[in-house]
Amino acid sequence: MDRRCLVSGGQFGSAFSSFALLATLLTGLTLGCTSKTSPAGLAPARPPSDLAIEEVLRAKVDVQIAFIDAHPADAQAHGLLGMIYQANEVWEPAMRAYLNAATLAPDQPEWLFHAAKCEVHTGNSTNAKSKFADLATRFTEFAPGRHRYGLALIDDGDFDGAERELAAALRLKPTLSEVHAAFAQLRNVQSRFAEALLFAEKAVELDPRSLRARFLRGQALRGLGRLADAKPDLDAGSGAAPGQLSTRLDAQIPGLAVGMSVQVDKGADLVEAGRVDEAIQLFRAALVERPDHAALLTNLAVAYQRKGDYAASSEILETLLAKSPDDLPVLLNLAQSLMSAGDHKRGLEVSSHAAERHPQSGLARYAKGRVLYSLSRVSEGLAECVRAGELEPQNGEIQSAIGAGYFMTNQLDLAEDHFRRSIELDPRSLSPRINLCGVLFRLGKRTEAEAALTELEQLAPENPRVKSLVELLATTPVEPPERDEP
Amino acid sequence: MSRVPERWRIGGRNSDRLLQGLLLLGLLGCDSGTKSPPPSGGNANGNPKGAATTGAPAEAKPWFVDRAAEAGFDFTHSFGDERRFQLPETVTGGVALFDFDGDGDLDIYCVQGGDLLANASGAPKERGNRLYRNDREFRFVDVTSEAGVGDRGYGIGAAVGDFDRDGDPDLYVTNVGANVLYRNDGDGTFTDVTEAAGVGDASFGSSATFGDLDGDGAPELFIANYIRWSPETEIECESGAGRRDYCAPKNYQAPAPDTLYRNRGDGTFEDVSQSSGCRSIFGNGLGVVFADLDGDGRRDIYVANDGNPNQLWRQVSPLRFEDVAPGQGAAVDMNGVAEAGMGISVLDLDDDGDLDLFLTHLRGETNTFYRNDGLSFTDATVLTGLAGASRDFTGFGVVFGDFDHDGRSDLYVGNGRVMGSGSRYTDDIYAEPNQLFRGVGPSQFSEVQPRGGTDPLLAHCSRGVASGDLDDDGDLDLVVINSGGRAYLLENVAPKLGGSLTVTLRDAQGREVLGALLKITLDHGTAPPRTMIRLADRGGSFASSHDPRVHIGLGSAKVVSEVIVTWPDGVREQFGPFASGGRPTVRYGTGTRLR
Repeated sequence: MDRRCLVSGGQFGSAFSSFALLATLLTGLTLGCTSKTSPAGLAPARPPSDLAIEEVLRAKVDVQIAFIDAHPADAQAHGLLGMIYQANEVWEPAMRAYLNAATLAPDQPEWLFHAAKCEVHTGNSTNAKSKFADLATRFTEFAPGRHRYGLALIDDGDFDGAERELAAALRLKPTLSEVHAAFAQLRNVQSRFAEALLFAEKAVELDPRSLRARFLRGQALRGLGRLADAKPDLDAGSGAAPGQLSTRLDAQIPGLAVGMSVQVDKGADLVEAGRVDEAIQLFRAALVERPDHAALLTNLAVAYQRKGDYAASSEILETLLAKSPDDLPVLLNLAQSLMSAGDHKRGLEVSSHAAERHPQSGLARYAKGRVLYSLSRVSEGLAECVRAGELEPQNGEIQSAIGAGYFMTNQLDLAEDHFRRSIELDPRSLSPRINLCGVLFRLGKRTEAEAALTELEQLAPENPRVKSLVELLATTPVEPPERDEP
Repeated sequence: MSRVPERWRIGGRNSDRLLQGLLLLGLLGCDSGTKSPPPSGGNANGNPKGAATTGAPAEAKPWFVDRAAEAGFDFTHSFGDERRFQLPETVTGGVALFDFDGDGDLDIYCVQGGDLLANASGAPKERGNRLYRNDREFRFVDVTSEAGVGDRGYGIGAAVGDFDRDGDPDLYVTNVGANVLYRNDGDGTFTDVTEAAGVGDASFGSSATFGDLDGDGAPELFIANYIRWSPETEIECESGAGRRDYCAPKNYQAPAPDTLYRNRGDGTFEDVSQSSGCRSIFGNGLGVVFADLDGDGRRDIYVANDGNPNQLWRQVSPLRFEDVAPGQGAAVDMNGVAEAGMGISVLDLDDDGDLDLFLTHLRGETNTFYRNDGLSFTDATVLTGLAGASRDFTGFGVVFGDFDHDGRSDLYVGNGRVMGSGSRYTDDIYAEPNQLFRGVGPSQFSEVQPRGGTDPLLAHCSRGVASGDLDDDGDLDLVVINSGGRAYLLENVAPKLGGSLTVTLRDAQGREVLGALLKITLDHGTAPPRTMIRLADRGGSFASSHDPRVHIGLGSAKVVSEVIVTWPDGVREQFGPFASGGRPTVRYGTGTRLR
């Protein structure tokens, strides 16, 4: 049976019209799809009977399975089923569906690549590695496969093999930061730190936001004995995610997430990425099916908050609060929205209630402290923040808030201590660094202020507040501050 | 990093973001900095180069046989009457091997979970911890009631040490809630002296360990605490498909500060957690070891955290500590990832004379070898053959020992998931087979087949693992606690490639010594002599306590030409030679003193 192209459109009856959009998304995979004869059709990858999955996802899966039952040799249909599973983190059926697609469309490496990736999630990395090896052999120009196999070979300690694969990936994708980072990783584990540094430098240059590249550069510097140089990179890069190259499918898969849990996650990702309107749209669409879903509603309120629509945010959170009067995230976010909207009185009520109902929550104390700061009740706010700091001693934001309280009460030495502690806890946060510069400047510690500013510039050279601080320090003579009693 | 990328939570992970939203608005009008991106999938990995996954004929024989049933060792662990997806259910189940009655053989203490809600409501828990007396020839008898050690708190782990220096080993139990110290009364019974000793840390203790840190001879006590948790603070999590599952520890945003008690030497302790500096930073602590990692003569503390950077508390002056892990490369893995630290072992894995670290981790991560390079540590896991081999499993308990007496340390890892996804080995979706690796060279390993060293394959959700010579036949046996299942009592039946030596260390008064370092030289006749470093300690693994006797395999050597002991006070003495098969007791002050 000939393989079918999704772009032909005719294969989708009305029952499958919901996948019309997906058909266009998959256009890139259909090039040349009529060129070969495929094997006979394959049964769709069904979820195990005992696997509990949400109804909304099951319905989506059932539709696609029905389509495949009618078109068992359609590689793209099998692949799409795999993508639906993967988007909703149902890994084992995803792997089987992708394998079906790979069998039916043996000239398209993406299917096998994603099958292997899903197999990693099932806990069968040995099988996955075989698939990556197969990919690397059969699709020598497929960079994600060569790169991923190279990383797997580093794990094996097969550095020659890793060198071969990563060199191929570098030839194919010379401008991708992650490929250079992978080489830096290889050189670091080989203790060839000078070369590692060059690769890491290039990776950072290509993607200055890459935490992994920063960490690998720090490792190389440490290996070279340049401990002081290494520290900022090691601090900044700690917590980086392992790197990988994406395929054309990767951009499309998130759009197939339908499970409520994944929807919430996806929306939260959009909010974090600053794509607030998209998040609001997503949450609203999801709420059609689950209008009372608390997590969806809370996240929608947060999205509105980020958008600056504090009224909408507060309205949702007040509704949630009426149902769950002691829900801490709701209380904290409501306090934030109210404060941002200028309703400090209600903000104080809410944050006080949070602190009263959750006496061991440092975040509740912190929220109350911030409202009190906004009301210019600085001493009271500072007391709350200090208590918050005792309860959450490792929260850099709270330390920064304590520093701010001391700053506002002109206890500059204490402010300096807490800003420094905040930086220690969260080296990537700019707020305490900027505030520290200000405090040092006021304390007349010009040399230290300049050093702190240099670090700031390295972290965020384009930040307008950093730029203004640089200008300030360059043009203002330093005078010792007046040391008023608080 | 969360435990696995596919996790989310209703009130959990998204609450992280809600709170983050609150916190991101900086004070004084400042911008916030960059934040970590959400975790993405791990890289793909296979088995290590040389790993025998298909079973070479020479390795096809089992190394262990489970004798639990025939030995009367009937401990069945319970995480609760039903799975309620409460966090403590994922980490309960430690074990301690110690000779509580002084009859010369190892007894077994098993830590029980129970029912969290029953405990919260004050209802009595049916099952408590259990002590099994070793009556030799692999016969064990439950003597919990007579001994008085059946604590019914929701138990996590156990540590053993002679805190009152009266010559018999005492027992410390970590719980969700108040921990318990049982003083060994020397007559087969124990007394709960928690309150009098002042060590009832009421946090969520996981691993604990005893050891003399300040050089006064009385062992301090360190407790790695996990999460600030209560049933009221539990949150709900689901898999991507909508199935209920356990939350990742970071979802709780509540790492618990660890606790260090200084032994006053009079049977009581002083909480020095703050003054020692050990609370200046902390994570979701699950593992802890004491060891002199920088060779300065003072014992340091290493804490493995679940999803946070680990701490290496360098002891800069008596009972004053600084965390040097980030700068020294011992906090995160080679990619900068703060892995999900569970169990730890400390040993000289690469035979270069200093102590290295080995940590067990979550599926998708490697179990990680931090090689001690003198001034810093390097994640050198990919050089060991253990990277790819560990990525498919969630490791907890960990034991290094020379099970086949070939002169190289082998490795046993107890595996078991904390999330119910992935290929199934049994009806229990949290079950995984344990793994056994044969040492094939300095820091080089190859997986033994059959997997886990047993035939048939055993697959449960393993937590605590402890090693010791339970049948007194000169080799190392294992006890494994399985969450929600029966425990394994694994007799070592590995084909032996040499003899062995088991060294017991005693102080001048004949009491147990923890923390001594042994430099052992094997005489191979015409071949050059070989030296190895071994640490005499009970700690390590996960929430468990080992036999502190130092056991080594001799391989082709017939004689141990010398054993140089560096005692905890820095005194060095030479002992030996010792013949293969020997079980000498070396006593402080009786060897040849070295400068």
